[in-house]
Amino acid sequence: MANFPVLRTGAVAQYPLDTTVRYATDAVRFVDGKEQRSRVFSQPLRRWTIALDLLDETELAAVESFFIAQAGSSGVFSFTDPGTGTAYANCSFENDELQWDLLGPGNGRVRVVVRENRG
Amino acid sequence: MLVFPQLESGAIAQFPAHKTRVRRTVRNVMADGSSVVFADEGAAEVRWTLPLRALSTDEMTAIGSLFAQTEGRLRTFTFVDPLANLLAWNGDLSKPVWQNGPALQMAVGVADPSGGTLAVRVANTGQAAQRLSQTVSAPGWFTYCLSAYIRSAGGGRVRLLRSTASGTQSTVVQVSQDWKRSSSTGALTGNDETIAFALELEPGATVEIFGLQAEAQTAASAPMATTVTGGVYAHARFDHDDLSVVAQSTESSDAMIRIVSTDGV
Repeated sequence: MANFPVLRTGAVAQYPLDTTVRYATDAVRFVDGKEQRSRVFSQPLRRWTIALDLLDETELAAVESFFIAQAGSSGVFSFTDPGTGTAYANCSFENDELQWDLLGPGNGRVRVVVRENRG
Repeated sequence: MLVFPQLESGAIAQFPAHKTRVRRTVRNVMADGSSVVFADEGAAEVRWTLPLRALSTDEMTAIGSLFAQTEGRLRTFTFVDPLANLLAWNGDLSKPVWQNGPALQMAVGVADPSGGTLAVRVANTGQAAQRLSQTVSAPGWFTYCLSAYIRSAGGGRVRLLRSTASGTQSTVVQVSQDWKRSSSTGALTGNDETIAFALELEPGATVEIFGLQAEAQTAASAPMATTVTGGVYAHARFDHDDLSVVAQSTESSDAMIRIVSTDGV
């Protein structure tokens, strides 16, 4: 199982780190105003928005190579939540595009969204 | 050979430069949130957005001439990625892209200066100097920087070479037991459409090499690991049919260039 690349600091993300937990609820409302609700997901799914700044060319190349190896959003890899340390084995890139910017020598930035998959 | 020109500074692009990798995934999402996915490899592409400022008349004329020859998006040209290592498989020098002297023996997976194991130990068991070399289909007349981290327990010297059919330039490097990054920069004359980057070992020498890198610029960037492909795209296109140039003065122009390649991605 591939792992999301780590930065030269040993971290996988920088602050600010945006983490989303998602449930799916099906709600049916009756004519008298009452509701019946049920869960669609047995467990919530997580999503991390990782904005990385001040990356050098080595780190940018590593992220780019990982994206290519995963074939965009079709590949599956393990991602460790930087906040909790919990490893989620079934994750993917959310998008099929990876843009990165080189602002100066050794000064790159990239933004990726990692999503936890169901099943 | 139609090729995106190098600027007078020796670079292909200016800061900031932007690169986008694109893939396509067909996704069938089930009611419970699970997915069945299919990777559509044929739809892969890579794009660059290059804001260029303060270009001289000669630089702008060269880009404009290429745009006219390709008629915008119609025809392809060779694009040397300004944000990549031009060499493929720089972590495994035994791959077929490398042309190695017959007396060279290699061991991969050697500890490297960045804490990984991407260095390669190369031994010249012959009685004459031996080279490990990779030929890239890129303009031989461009300015290139060939760099590598090298060390050797036995010391000695290594040569970094850039060669075309028209000539060779090289730099002799004194190696020690400590990792040291060395480079060789310059431009060759002629109109050759390929260039070879090589490292030459003295007879009996054993060296460890990490981060072999060739770039179309005057100085080395941080080392970039490569595998299947390097950074030369032989069938790139402009991603726009109109070229808008803003003249800031008689000798200074700005332009926004967008390039795309679906080949070698």
